[in-house]
Amino acid sequence: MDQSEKRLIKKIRKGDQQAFAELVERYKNSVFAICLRMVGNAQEAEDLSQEAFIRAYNRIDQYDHDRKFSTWLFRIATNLSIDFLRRRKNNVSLDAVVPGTEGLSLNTMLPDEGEQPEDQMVRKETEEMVQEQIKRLPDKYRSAIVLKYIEDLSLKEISEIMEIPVGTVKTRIHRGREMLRKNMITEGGGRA
Amino acid sequence: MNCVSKKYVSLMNKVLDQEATEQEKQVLFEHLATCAECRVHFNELKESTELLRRLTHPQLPAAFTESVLNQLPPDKRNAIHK
Repeated sequence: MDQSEKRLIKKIRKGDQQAFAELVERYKNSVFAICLRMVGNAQEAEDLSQEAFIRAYNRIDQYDHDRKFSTWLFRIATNLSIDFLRRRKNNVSLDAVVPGTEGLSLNTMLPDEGEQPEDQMVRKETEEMVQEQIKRLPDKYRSAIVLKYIEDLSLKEISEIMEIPVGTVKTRIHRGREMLRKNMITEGGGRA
Repeated sequence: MNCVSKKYVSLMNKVLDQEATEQEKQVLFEHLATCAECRVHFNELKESTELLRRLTHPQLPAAFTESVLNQLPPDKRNAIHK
């Protein structure tokens, strides 16, 4: 782990919230991206991201500084997202499942500058289709796929975040990838 | 769907995970050149992951960090002086 991060964590352990703010700034968008693709809803993802950081702050004494801070933080974020999905599954009847991208306004999608409105539409539709497919993956495949393809993490890092062997990560990514392939074809979408 | 055999699917996975040796890559690509079914399968796998990679990474509102800080328990150092 880099030295500046070590110093920050030392300060945080003494209660320095300004030091913590620096870590939040550093990782907030990664944490948000993970939560967003895990739960498919921007508002809920923002709430979960907040919860993840607050939990990290409160449990900073449990953090093992021989590991990367981001590994530990991403673990908190994925676990919170999975817990959230399980609660939602128990509370919501199957016909009332929340659409994958509900809460993702055009505003949060941040279209490229100068992009044509039609292109924005196509992109939005593609994103919704892809998010819907991610949502259909079983939890354990979904975490592995999100960490791999949204955060571009190595298999080793994913294995540390999920606390499972690298071989198991691979199997989950292979199965997740195969499911996405099949479903995207049956949907007829995604041939971008 | 019999040609998309375990052997080639496993090679496809290795290539997609960037873990294939040069020789393994060669075996796969030589096969893909002659087998349309496997070629389609491989391209579909690649396409699905490309779509995932291309998802936007929306930014959080600027007030996010402050909002997190506001929810933290009171500063421990200040608490000592209470």
